[in-house]
Amino acid sequence: MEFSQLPSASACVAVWTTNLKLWNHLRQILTNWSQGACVSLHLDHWDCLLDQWSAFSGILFLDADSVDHTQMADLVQAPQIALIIVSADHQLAIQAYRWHPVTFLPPSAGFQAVRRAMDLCFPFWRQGLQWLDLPFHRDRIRLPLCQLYCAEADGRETILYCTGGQMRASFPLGKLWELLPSPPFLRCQRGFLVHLGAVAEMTGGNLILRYDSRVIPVSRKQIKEIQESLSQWEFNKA
Amino acid sequence: MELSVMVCDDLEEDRFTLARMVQRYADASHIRLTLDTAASGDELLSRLTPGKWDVAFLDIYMPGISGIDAAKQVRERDPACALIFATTSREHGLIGYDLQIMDYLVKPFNQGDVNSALDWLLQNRNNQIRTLSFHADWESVEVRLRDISYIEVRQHTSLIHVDGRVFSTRRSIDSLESEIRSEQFFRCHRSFLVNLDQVSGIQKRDFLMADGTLVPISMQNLARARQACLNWSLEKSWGK
Repeated sequence: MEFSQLPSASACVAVWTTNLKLWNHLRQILTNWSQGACVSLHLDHWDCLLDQWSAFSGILFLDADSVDHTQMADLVQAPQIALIIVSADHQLAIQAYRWHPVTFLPPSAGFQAVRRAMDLCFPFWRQGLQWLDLPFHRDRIRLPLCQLYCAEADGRETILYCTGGQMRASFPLGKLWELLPSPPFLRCQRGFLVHLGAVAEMTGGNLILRYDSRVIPVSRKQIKEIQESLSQWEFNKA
Repeated sequence: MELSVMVCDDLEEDRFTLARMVQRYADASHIRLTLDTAASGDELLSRLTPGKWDVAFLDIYMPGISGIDAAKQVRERDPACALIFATTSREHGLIGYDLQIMDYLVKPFNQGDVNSALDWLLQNRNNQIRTLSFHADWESVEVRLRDISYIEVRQHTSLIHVDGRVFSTRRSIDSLESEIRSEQFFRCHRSFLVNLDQVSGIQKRDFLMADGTLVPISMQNLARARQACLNWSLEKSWGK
């Protein structure tokens, strides 16, 4: 199997709020985040503290403006839960330290703030990471899919450009493309595919990558489609 | 167990009161305490070395460098040091989350508040603080888990490599492994238990340790060792 997930896995995230607007806002951001980070995500909405909460293991966004604080004591003691407090009340920030949350966000928190919060909770969603597992001669290459930002065909092999450096896989680009989720990956021409998050800008039919300023040509018939995908990607992040 | 604490406050009375509370907590919990105090952020930073303190209590309003700026520098130079603000200020709650401080005590606080903060530290920063005790060459030795590089067995004796020193004990590696019971340690070979935090890479079938030593990986554990090493390095570096 070339493209795999670790056994058992999705990252579990719950949003505990009675405010539907906040739930929809966070759901949209978390869905976009999971797509970009290539994380398999199970997202839940709690409108009250579930009786079965102790079986929950993952990340809990708690809307402190709409739920009852008195129920917090037990949650604080649960080592399997990473708590993120959401509140418009800045004065609550100090009081919230006794619950030992990972962080404190305003309800208007955007994509970047939520992404930073998720970074801090990495051990709690690590099991949801999607992995790339490819052969290289007699060995295997294994890396989190989100670390791949560009791949280039080289005959029957593929050069993988990753955040940690460059490596080679004994696997054709066409086959790799069939295995990757799209978005966030895009086949911009026969010989290249890129992660949308790695694109700094598109100018004159070329993509310029943010990590190494590499210029990737885009095939003429795909320019429009790629422009639309990039706009949608930027819109989701905004 | 041992705990190293820094109390930084420009007001002598507040500094001593908090230091007394920390001492009382350590006495009641049978913890060996190393307590340092500083009268300013500058004094704290001039004495800071990575790993010196497990936790630092910081006042915010101080002459010279503020507690916020001191916390930023501590974060950069010693990310493992837990930080607790102990202050009259009610205005820095949000920035505390950016600095990943562990607790925020508003003066006047009491012994119970300090106890709760330190209880949390001991329960949740276990890997930083936990120790391993054993008898080595007729003496009783206690070392921090984080300082152990690897453990190997030679001729029914376990050799524990700690910061360039080697302690030998008659305890079996199985018993040491079961006492350590931490994701940070990986049994890569029947005779070797390695601290992943001190691994700098894998070379063929060996772990390359930070000090250049090679620790062998058995053939059957090679794939698991690679995955464990990858998981650990992701956990350490994610988002940084």
